[in-house]
Amino acid sequence: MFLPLVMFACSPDPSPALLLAVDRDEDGEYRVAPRPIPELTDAQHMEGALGHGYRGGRIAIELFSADMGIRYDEGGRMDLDYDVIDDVAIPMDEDGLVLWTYYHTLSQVRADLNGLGVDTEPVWPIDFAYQPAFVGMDFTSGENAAYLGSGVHLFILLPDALPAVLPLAANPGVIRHEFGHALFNVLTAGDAYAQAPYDAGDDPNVTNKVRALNEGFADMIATLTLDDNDFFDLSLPSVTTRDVAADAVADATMYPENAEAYDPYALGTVYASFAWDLRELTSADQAVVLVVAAVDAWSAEAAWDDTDRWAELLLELSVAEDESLKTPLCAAFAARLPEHPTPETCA
Amino acid sequence: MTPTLLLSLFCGGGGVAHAIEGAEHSTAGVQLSAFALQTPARHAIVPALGVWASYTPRPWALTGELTLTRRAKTNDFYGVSAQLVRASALAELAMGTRPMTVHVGAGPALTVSSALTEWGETDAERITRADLGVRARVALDGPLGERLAWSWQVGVASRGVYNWDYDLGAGIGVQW
Repeated sequence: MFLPLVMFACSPDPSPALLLAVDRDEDGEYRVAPRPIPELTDAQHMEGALGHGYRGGRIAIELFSADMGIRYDEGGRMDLDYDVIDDVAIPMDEDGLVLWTYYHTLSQVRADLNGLGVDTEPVWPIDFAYQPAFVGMDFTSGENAAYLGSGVHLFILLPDALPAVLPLAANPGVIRHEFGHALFNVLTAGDAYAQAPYDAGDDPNVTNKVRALNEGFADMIATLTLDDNDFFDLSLPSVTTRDVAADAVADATMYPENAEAYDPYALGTVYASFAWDLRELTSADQAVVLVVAAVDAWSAEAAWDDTDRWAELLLELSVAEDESLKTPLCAAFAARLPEHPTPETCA
Repeated sequence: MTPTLLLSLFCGGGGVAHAIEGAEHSTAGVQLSAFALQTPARHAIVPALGVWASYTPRPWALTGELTLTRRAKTNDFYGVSAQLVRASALAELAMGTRPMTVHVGAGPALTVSSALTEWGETDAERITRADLGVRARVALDGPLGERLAWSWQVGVASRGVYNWDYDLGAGIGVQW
């Protein structure tokens, strides 16, 4: 008797030419603007070459499995409300702005890095879970965007705790940071779905040390591809410790052997700041190519227990490319890692 | 078996419920609800304000509802405010006693959604759309003194085929 039903609202164009997204303009300001997202073939359901989106679903940690693996039980298909006006897709709620910003950011970082000769193709596609539920994990303290590696290969985008600022999931720097984790996983584990070798060992200090470099590398990808030393300011203005142009200096307490509750971001910011020093001496493009090459070389050495070795390799590769960098970069190395023995390149 | 008899049996048949089948009354009032509004990601909980009117010639009833909700999000980069107005007409079974009538019904619903999206210094677009759907509810109502009436309900309504909203509300009104 009451069976449906005619919908007045027709489905919008699934592949609009432009979609509203938060982006960094050439003047260095972040703003919402119409942007093309060529890989997004279905804007309503968030499906495309870079990955498919799911709404909700459930992320569970398998507490009783041998490797305490993480599993994602897929949620439903995304279904965004929007209309296309003058060739620009306009969302009817915040979810559209967040998700199109997310996809546009991935599209852009892919184009940026591939254009520089950094092969990102093994990373794609990465599916994402939008606001999933968690079982057995506490994400409430850090509502955020995140990358789940070690076999899961999934982005998760969570609601924000601070309503008055840009959601972390719509912050181009945060999305680039999370992409950096995915790239790190591919560079070090060799495959997007492989478990990283440093996660398989018994020594938590090794795992934590690599976590620090992983966080630092993710910040390097974000800061160097955006050419913005402090992208967190948009979403977390009170957090000033992640500014890579500031004076982060390593000390013994930043290494997991000497810490009770380990914070990987402190040492990670030191590494990212050293990469920013290189950017100040060269360019953002040149620096990002060199930091990726240094992770590649460090991974080839499997020097998982010695993440400072990555900084030595960055120094070596940079000086090998441009001898004039030797003096200023060695000075930067000594300033950032003062307790580390002088690298051979600087001797 | 009539709906009234069903309720009487449910209540134990001990005379708690006195059926007054055939009697008719009308109610109208204002209702406050909590809406679980389906968004692309989840069901967002938002408050809603509505009015209702019921005509109840037992064991049947006809009910009309008009409900309004609003939700908004603004930050330094953008603002999105959305309003939703839903009108529904329900054919219902009315069961129970005059002090407490149970309504179970369904009917068509028309939902008009309007969203204003603002960004940049001056850019803004308003999008308005209408969706037909179905509405179903279970409600209780009864007299509150001589002229006043109370109501309580849980319901579900669709916007098109894929979006389903839920609501829980209580109201106060008049009867005659």
